[in-house]
Amino acid sequence: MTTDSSQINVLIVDDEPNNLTVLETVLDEPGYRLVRATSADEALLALIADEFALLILDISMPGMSGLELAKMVKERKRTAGVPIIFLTAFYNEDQHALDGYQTGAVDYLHKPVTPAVLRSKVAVFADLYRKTRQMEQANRALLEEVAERRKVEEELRILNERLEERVIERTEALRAHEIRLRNAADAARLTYVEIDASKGQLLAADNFMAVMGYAWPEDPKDSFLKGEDLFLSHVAPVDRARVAAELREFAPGQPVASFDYQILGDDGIERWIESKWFVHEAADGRARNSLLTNLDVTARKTAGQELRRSDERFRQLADSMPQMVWTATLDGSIDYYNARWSSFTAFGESRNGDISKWADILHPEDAERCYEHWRSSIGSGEEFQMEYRLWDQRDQKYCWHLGRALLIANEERNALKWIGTCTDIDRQKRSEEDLRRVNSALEQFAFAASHDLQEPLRNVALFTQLLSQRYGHNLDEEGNMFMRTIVSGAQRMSQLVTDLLAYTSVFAVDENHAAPVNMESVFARVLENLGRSVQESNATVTHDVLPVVFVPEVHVEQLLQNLIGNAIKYRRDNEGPKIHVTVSSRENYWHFIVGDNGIGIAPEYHAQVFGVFKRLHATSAKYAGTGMGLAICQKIVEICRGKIWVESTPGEGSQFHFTLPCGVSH
Amino acid sequence: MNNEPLIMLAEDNPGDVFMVKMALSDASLGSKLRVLSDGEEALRFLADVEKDAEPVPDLLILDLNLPKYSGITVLEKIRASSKCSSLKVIVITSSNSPADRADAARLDAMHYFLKSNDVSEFLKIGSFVREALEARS
Repeated sequence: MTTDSSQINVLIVDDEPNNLTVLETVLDEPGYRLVRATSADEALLALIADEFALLILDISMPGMSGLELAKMVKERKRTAGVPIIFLTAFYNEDQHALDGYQTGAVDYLHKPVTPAVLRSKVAVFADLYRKTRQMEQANRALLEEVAERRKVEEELRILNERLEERVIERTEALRAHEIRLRNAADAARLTYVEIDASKGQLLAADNFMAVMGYAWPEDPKDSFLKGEDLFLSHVAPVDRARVAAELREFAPGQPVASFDYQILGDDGIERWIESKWFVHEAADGRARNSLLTNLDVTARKTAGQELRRSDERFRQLADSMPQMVWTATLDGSIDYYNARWSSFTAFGESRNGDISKWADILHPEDAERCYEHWRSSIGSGEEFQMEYRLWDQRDQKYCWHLGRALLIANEERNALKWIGTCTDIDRQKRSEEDLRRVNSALEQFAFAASHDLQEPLRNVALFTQLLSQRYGHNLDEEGNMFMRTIVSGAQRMSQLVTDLLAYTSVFAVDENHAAPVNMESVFARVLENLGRSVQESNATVTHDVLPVVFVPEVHVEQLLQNLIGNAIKYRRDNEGPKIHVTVSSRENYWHFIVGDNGIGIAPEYHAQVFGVFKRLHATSAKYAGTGMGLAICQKIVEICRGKIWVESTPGEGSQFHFTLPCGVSH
Repeated sequence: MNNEPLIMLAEDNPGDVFMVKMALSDASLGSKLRVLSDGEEALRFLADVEKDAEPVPDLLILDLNLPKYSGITVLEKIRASSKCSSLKVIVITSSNSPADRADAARLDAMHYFLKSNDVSEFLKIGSFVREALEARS
């Protein structure tokens, strides 16, 4: 049910519809909304559905009477306050019952109703209802306003609390920031003097003393005048006039470049200080605050001096060296060289940084080799080292030099530049070449001589024997003895020449003939070669599993043969030779031991057994030989870049140790 | 074996030639010996054999240290030839160097005979020659 909020509801109850129509006619006003009920039940239903300002009730109704209905209305809390106007017959006995109701809440009218009276009574109640409603509304609005105000107050309180927290937080952050700034300034050894233009004061930072070495005047009133005097009095005399000029030159609003000077602290320490002006315009554009920062740059200054001194020392050193010293960028252009270089190359300063200079002085035959090596050194980061010929401007000829260069890298291991030297090795190189020529000639000579010596010697030996065999009977015993001496002399000499030949031929096969050699097969061949003496001496020759070595094969065969042959030859009388070859692997070489149970060698002879023609035993049938075997062994091992030595106990046996490279040699 | 075997000796030293002759005679092999006194002569002989101007010999006793062309060079040419590629060769030399031994073995020499300065040792070459001739078939 929709209601116009300005209308008030009036419930009219009568069992007689005509009466209701009469009431409707009487109360036909826009301010009222009339609800009809023709019985108490209908009236109760209407009261439940709507709020009413007034109930106009016919007392006499069939079923529930008006009075009974009124009693129920008054008992219900929601409707107890609804005023009731009873309609009664005139002088009815119900009059007494009505007296029981409170005045104001209940009224009555006699039928037939006088329209004017009814209108006025209803108007009173309607007015009362309206006023009551207005008051209720006013009251409700008041309560709402109070609640609203409380809410606002609470919000305000919370806001206040938050604000306080923020203030505390910001203050703390500001303090921490200030501490950080101060720490930073302390760490940087930076202090400042602030000039408050409005007050004409100079205020120094807390760490002024620590940085500058003297204290700023404490009384701010004095500071403007005293501060400058005090400052200048601490500046080193040599810098004082200049610094004073810098201070005078300073005009507000016009920052000067930084200036540095030395200052003598009261603590006796000399410091280098760098000062700078900063000017701040105040908000009103008139006052200007200035900041004079002072930075302790002692470390930088002295490091610079140290660097210059070190650089100077380096140059003096480099210039006094007989070698050429240079530094170059990665592509090889030289960016520094010493005096020796410029006198050698006659390159003036103008050639500095010219990449072509290497090509100008390098021997054309060496250039490509040199560049290639250079490039590979840049790639690998390894030291560059090679021999090449450089054009000597003074003597107008090429001279051999040993060039060395190191790649200088930074901490990230990136190559930065080269530092190198060229050492004159011309004389060594030439004498080396001479020596090589002489050596090679000597070898050829020795080889030819020994071959050519063999034949006449053999002829002497053979034909003296033939002479003895065929014609010996024509000579006496002494004559025969002479011939035997000739034969043995010639044979011995022949053996010497043979061994000398073997010795010199070792040189002919150098490390360039090195190839992987399976020592197992070499060993088998050696045993075959030594077959007869192994058999005759009843020797046992055993060995570990032998490796593949990287040496000239002829050498390793001769080496094994000489050592095993010796072990058989120098056996003890009462015991068959037992020989074992031991092998052990080292990092980049093999270690061999040829051990025997022979007569051994006294310690004092250990070194000399490897000498040429060195023999420990008189020439005899038993220990035949020329003393070349071990000399050859030593030469072979040397050529193979190994070592050979002996350990031995006389009467127990000898161990000949030697080493051979296991990989491709460089 | 219809006629006497032909043995060639490439040797420049007359003393050694004498010794070989003595050894062959002592061994009574009934062979015919012809001497080539240097490497050049040896190669010329080889060329003649190729041209059928000379017969293929039954055995070559070859000194390694020959004038003009070394014994090894001669042996290489022999092995490369068409007629003498499988000729029996005994190397005689005063060199005991492994390199020479290796070369001789590589070029299929039957024996590597070290010239001794002892007569009886030297004469042992006779038995090697006999062995070589008997192996011929």
